[in-house]
Amino acid sequence: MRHCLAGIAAACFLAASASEAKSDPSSAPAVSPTTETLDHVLLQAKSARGTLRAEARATLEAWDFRDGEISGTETDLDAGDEYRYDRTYARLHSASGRYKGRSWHQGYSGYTVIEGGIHDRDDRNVAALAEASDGVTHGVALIGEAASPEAFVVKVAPPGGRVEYRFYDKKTFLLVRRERAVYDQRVVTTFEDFRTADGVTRPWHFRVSDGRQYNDEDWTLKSYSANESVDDARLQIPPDARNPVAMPAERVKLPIKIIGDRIIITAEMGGHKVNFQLDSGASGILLDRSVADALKIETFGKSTEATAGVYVAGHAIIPLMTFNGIKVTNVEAETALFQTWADEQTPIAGLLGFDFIAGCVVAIDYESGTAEAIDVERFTPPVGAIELPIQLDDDVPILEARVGEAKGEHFILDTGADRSMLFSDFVAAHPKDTKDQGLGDAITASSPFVSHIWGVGGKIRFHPVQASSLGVGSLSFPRWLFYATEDDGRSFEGEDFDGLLGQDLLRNFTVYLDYHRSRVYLLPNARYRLRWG
Amino acid sequence: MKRSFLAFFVGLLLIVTAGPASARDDKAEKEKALDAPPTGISATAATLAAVLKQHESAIGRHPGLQESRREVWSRNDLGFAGSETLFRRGLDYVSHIQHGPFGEEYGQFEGRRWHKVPNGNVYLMTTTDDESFAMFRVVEDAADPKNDAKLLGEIALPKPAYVVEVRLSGAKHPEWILYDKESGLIVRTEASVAGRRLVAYYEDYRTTNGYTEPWHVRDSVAELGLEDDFMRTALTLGEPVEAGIFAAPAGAFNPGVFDKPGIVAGRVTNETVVVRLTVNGRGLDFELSTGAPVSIIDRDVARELNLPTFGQTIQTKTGAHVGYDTEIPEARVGESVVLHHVALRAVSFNYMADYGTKIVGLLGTDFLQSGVFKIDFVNGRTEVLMENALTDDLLKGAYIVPLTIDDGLPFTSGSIGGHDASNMLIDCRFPVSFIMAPFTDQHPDAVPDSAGKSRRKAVVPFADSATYGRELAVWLSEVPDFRFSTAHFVKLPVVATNDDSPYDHDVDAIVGFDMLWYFDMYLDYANHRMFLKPNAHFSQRFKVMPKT
Repeated sequence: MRHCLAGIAAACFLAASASEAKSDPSSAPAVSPTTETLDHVLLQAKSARGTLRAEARATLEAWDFRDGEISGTETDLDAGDEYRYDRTYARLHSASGRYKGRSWHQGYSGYTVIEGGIHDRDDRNVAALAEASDGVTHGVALIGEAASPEAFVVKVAPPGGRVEYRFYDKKTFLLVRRERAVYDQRVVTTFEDFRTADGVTRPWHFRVSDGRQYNDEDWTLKSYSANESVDDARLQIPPDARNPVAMPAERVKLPIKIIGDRIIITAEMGGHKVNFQLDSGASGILLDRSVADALKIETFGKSTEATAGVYVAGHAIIPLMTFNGIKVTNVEAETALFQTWADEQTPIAGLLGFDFIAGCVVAIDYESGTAEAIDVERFTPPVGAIELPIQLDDDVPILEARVGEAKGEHFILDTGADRSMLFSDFVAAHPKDTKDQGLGDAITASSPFVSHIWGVGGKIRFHPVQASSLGVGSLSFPRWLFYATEDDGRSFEGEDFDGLLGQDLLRNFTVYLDYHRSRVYLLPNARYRLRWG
Repeated sequence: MKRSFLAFFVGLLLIVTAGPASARDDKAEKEKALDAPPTGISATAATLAAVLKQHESAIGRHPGLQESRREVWSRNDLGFAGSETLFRRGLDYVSHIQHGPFGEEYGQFEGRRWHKVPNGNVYLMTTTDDESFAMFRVVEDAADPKNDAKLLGEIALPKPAYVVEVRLSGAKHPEWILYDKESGLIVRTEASVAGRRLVAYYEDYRTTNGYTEPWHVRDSVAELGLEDDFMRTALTLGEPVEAGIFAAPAGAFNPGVFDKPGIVAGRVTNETVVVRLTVNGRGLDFELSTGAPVSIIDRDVARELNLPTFGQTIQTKTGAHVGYDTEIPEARVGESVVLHHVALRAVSFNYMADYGTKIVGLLGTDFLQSGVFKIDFVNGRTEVLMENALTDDLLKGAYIVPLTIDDGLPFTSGSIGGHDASNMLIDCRFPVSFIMAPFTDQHPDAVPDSAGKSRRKAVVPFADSATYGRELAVWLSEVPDFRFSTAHFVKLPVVATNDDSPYDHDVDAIVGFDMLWYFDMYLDYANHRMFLKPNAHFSQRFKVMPKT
């Protein structure tokens, strides 16, 4: 789950903090030289895997898996370029698929999201490998032989892809191990129990580990079949399974207060009031585990998550949360240690993100300090607002922004971020456009110490950068101060994102979050007019 | 030492404002006054956007940090006249700050920061250096879209200036920025700091490499009569950077060293390690602290001894005490050791350690670097050893505790309940040991309440709770596994709290007197280490388990 909440703390030096030992997830495994050639290894691998018999149109696989402490099942229907996977994990169901070239996913809370294709690193790797099999080797190389397992090791690292090492057994040429750099972790998958059916030899058992506690997965194929026909309806993109947010009226005033541009929303849960921060940068709901315990909300499973730091999280299904009559039922939440303060009187015990926001249209009036939930079916865009299309691939609103002359298609609009941020890959890719215009250097000169911000699980380092301009939609702002993350904050940045658009921007508008139509609307307020006319 | 006004202003005013209950009557008025803009504002035809644009043009663009820069400032911190030389390139810097007889240095090299204190000790530090850059300001709050800014009008005196009111996001009170009408440069700011109005003046602007900045900065809290003044007197750009110039220098406790073994005058009484200094023939009992970053003396005693104030402000207009730097010209420790020019901070600090022992000061980490000390809790005395006395035979059975001395605070690392605790402060000044937030927050299960409760359930952050966050939770925990350095305790009763440490630095636990009392402590701070050798108290209290 993605949790931003990049709260800008008072600038202070990052003291050495306890954290997991870091190693380069892209580093090559130990290998010895080989006399084999890449062409031959890939040819043999292709041959070893085989080809699905021509008359089979689809395959159906039923898997059992164990993810940390929890068991689940997954059914995978593959039909050429189209597929649908259904996963049941504890009491939760989710699904994903691709139909007519459009990928989608449906989370535990029931919303269906059409994806924009933001994350294509794995696709690029697959394409590069396919091209390499045809003799075109962009970013694919045979780097040597491994001793354990005894295998030829092929490195796949195409432009825009991820670093991956594929271990092909020296005798069978089957893929027996894969090591991939994901975020700042090395994810290792081992394959075994190979069986041949319908012309294809596939593993019936594999394990996945990123080296973190609770995150090991173990998958076993329980059944397999190939079919000569497939029901198209099974592959079509499903509508929302449900809307967990039930509105008592067309428009409901939300119980919020805005403190320092942070939107604090109070839920009633189990006879108590619980403050959340309304955080569009959160891909779900995060609840402090002590609150979950006190309210006797059943929690299950554990995983080790990494955002601003590494932390252990559990899962829970919140039976009911109410907000001025709005009922939110049976939504999945992540539970973790999370306690912070908006001010001396306002403890915050969680983040309220996608699973709430997607069930309605949330309108935030920063100037008056109010917010409304609007029935998605009855919402009409406000006159005079700037309409911004968004993508929700990661259950956070992703949109295009311009920094100087550079365009970034993957900025997260984040009500949880105190200030807009530039991520390290974007800065590295656009040195001219992210060159400081003076203010960042002046701030650094007045306090030449590495600063940090707090996020979920820890803190990350940043430095101030004043860009020549920030553009969003038809809007353009001169000389914008960003905080640029240092490149040791990969987990916080996530993959493929350019940065965050935070409260420094949003506070100048009434903001409408309309996930249902994949739109955000910005209606300029008096602050905007006073500053920029 | 934190001399500059801004550096310790907040702490100071917290003391100043802690008045009797009747003072609360004035609170509302004071709060109201902090919302009142400067007087004499008249309407203006200008717009905020125009004022900000004029200002942006006026200051130009910062040239960046690539070129070396040496600058000299004269500074007056609360009446203490001095100077600072600051040499920097990129994020690396070295500063030398001289006030009266006290020289102090700070530096940063490749991300490692250090501090040389007036007594000559050099510490690495992870906290920020609040002193060297006290005069550098970026006063661009009005231009920051994160804040609300409003052009209130203009003011005529002493020179015509636009007044912009800025309300920082989440701030209780506004601040005001005055832009010179003619030049667009900022000439004054007024802001609320710790419940007082702090007025800063910016003068003598000069342009270097396209960037215009003030060469004279002055801070004032008129109602308290407190002022800081900084004036740049020289600036040199592009000077060659000598190798190693930014690196930490060697350091030592300059007032003196213990070069002969012996017993230090003093004793151990009521959880206090007492060292007697003789000053001007008068015996003064100081507490020896293993964890105090600087040494201090009670201000009343300092005045009785006629110790110099060097012109520093020692009390506010309202009569509240202000700490100041002083020195003891000569102090004897026992018969053989004479310390010269011992720098201390004079503050209100005295208490009765027992019926006949009035503690009037604190000897801290700086003092402890003057030799190797043994604190013998069984016999109630402190000894001085020579370094070569720390033989294997002497230290047989002792736990070796490597120390990281972070700007005077001695830390070691260990684990509690199997979780890493990298910041364990060793400080015998605390009568009991504590496990503190953030450790208790992060690992509540590691510090269970001995009464059987789980404390994390006692601090549930419900918004309707009347008590959460306002009460300090303290509980006795039996920690199943407590390690620091090579010492390993099983089922150790220890006090846990959800309170943060009183330091800038994260502190997972404080190893206090109650734990240290079971050991002969060999303090070798000059070599960043300590040895704990179990004493007679230890064998009475603990059962030693065979190593597995």
